[in-house]
Amino acid sequence: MNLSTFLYLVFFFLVTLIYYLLPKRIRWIWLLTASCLFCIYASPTFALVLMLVTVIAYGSGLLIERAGSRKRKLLWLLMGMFLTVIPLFIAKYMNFSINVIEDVVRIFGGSLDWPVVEILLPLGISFYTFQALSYLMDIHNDVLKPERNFARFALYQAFFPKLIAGPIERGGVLLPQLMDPKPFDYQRMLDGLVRIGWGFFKKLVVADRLGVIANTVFAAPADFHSPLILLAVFAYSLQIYFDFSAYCDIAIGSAKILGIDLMENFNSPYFSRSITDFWRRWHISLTSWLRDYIFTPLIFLLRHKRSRFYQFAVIIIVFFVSGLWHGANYTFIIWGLLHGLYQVIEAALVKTRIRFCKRFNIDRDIFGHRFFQIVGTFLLVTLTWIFFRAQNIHDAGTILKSIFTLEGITEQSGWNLSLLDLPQPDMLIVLLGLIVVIVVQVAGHKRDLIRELNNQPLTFRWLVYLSLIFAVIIFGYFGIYSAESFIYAGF
Amino acid sequence: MKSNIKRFIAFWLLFSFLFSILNNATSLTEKRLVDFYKLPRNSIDVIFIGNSHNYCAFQPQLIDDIVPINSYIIGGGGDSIILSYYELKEVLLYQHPQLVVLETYTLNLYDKSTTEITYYSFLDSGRWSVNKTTGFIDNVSLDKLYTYFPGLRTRMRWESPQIYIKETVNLTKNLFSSTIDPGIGVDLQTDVISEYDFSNEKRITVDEYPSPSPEILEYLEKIRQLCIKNNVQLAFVTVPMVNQPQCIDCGYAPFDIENYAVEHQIPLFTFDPALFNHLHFVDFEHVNSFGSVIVSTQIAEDVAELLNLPINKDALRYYQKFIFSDYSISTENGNHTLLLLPMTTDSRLEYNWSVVDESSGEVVSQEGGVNHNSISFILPHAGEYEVKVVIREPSGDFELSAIFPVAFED
Repeated sequence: MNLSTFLYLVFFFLVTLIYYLLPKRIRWIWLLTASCLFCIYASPTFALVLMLVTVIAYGSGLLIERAGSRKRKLLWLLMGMFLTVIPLFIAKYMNFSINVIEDVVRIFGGSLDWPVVEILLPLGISFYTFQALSYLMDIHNDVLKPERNFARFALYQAFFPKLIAGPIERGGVLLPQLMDPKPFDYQRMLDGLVRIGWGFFKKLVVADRLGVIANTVFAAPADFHSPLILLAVFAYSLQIYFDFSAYCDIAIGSAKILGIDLMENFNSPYFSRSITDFWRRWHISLTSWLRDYIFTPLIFLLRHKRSRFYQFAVIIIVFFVSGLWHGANYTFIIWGLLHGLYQVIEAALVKTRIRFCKRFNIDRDIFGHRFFQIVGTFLLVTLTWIFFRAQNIHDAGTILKSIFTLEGITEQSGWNLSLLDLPQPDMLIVLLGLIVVIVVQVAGHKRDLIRELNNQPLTFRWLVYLSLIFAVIIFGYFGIYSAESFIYAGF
Repeated sequence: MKSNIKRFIAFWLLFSFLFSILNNATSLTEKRLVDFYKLPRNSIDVIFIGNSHNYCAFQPQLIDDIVPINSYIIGGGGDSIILSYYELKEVLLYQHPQLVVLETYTLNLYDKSTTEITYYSFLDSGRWSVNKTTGFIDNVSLDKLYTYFPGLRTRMRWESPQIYIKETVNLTKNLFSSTIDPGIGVDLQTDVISEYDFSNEKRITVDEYPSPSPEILEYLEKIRQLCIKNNVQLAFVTVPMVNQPQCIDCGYAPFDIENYAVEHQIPLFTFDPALFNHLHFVDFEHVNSFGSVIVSTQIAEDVAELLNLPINKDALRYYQKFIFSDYSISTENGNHTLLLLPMTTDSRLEYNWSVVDESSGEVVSQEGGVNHNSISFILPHAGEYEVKVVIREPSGDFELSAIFPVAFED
């Protein structure tokens, strides 16, 4: 069930209503039931895969705790992690691995043609697998006690607002909340609803329209000249942010109404002043996961190595994993490696940049310098999105070549917006929508806008609520044409 | 807490009011369905139910002149038998007709998705009812339940927002007006299929169509049971077509209505195919105004016989004057002649002819109030033209309009 659909709203309304009618001690059972229904609605097979991963992680967690020695604990951890990852590997990476082997054999002059097995990627598998892995590692590191009640652990894995695309929650944070959620609070409900409404606005009014532009050009980049390609690349850069952050808004807002706080996944990432800063603000739950479970352990392992090369190598490894996590394709790996490379260069040049600024008396805190950094970071990030979105490396190459050679820039058809399949009125709506979203983003960068809204007079608040609802209904890019599913649900 | 609940309810009411305005502006109404609710209760004797094959063919005014009944047409374009069932249920809530005539093309549409799309005009037209809502839930997939509300289902056409204002005004006007469309639901098609299209459509054949889905039989059976339960006579009618649809995947699966009718002893009205040719169709599946006169006069006789009612022979003769057997277009020395052939030669019909250049809309030739059934004209240049004719009979107020396509190549 897509979170940006009206069906979800009806589902969520019913779940919430029953949830608060039930006694507090059994509410979690209702949440588990609702989460199971949510998953089964998508596909009973997907529900079985989730169940399998949950059983493996639950059993492994108990075995790790009961193991007498460190060595045994490690053994159970590795065994548990291996088994947990198997469904993800089969569903997401098996065909890609076959392709890689075939490509390697081809490079060495051989020929292999293994059959490709068509497997539908289970909903949210990358997210709940990583969540299960963090659970096991936390138990191994004595950060977390394993959950003894299987049903409670199943709820931690399947909690519906975050099932499709995270945030990837830690057991230590989410499990206690699921068992002891906050009581019903009117203000909390209103805040949650505004958050959901804002998510719907970003997704249906802005992201899905930007998606039309991006989809049209990325489907056949060779058919377009550089101006439209550039427009589509920027459109995608904005689409993926608004799309994913919209999902998180709906997920966080829904959980909030149910008395549970999910972690924030974004912190104005396109206002980042460097790529390192970007990764502190983008998909925070994944970045912190990679930091805690890959980067930190590897750095710890290599703590005796003095050369910075090892630190850089770890960064590259982390972003290689990040790329691979997003998708089984060379394009995602290149995307991850590019981000790793950016950060390595940033880290390597940090002293040089400071010296440069001192030498030329550049105040690093003035608006001009910050603006330059923000724009630069945005452009670098946008450049990498080309690989993220392109269907294959060849397409990505075509796009890059077109942009850097300014191909067709003087031709009239190069600027023909009607080729983008988005009618002119929709272009205007997306532009106005973007202005609204950016203004809110800028205003809310360092302030809690929801809290400020709550302090306003009733009429103003109602005007905001109604405007938000009707903006979604009237300007939303849906109708008998269904809304596009969230991009990150595909991972 | 109490004040919060009050506030919440007040907000909800305000939202509902604004949302209902939006729903009005975006609803998909069908005039004949809106008008249906304006009819006095139990005032209709015969209901014609079906889809476009039904409302293009039968003219209730004409039928009611020939037979002493009040008839009405129900149904929207593309309606399947599933939708016809819910429409009939709705009809029976307000009317107790003696006869329900089901046009059988609805039985040939096997694809449920057709119902999903066509359901909206039924849902939006006229009053809210439990029957409509149940039908909607039955026919629309779970993820599309939100489409119950027109405001949510419609992706706005921002290039022309004035249509929503116009729609709101029209709908509001219509809701408060008690007048019913004089056509009583008929949607006459005045275009005559071109000779080229006609012969093309006739030629194409499809070896095998898909089998009808079990749902078709299920809903037909429901209709039959509904009629039995309400003590209403059910009859079938099959309006002629040039040919069956030529696409395998367009949701068409021919249903064997003849066997079903025989098995359940339900009258099936059919028409002699020899009476129909290129003059009588607008496209490969719908009759035009010429075809409609044949179909309507004949169904009037059939209904009279079935219900054992007298026929107004004068009215029948009057309408039969408007039956034409064929037409021809000939060219000689640049002079084009369109000749219409009436079935009865003694008719004193009055013809108003005009020839219009399709591209410019300019009238090339015109003849009004003449008694001859042909027009001769010279076309100034190559192009597409339309020959329009309005036929009247001085003793009555019935009018038959038609448009013939004429292509002139150098």
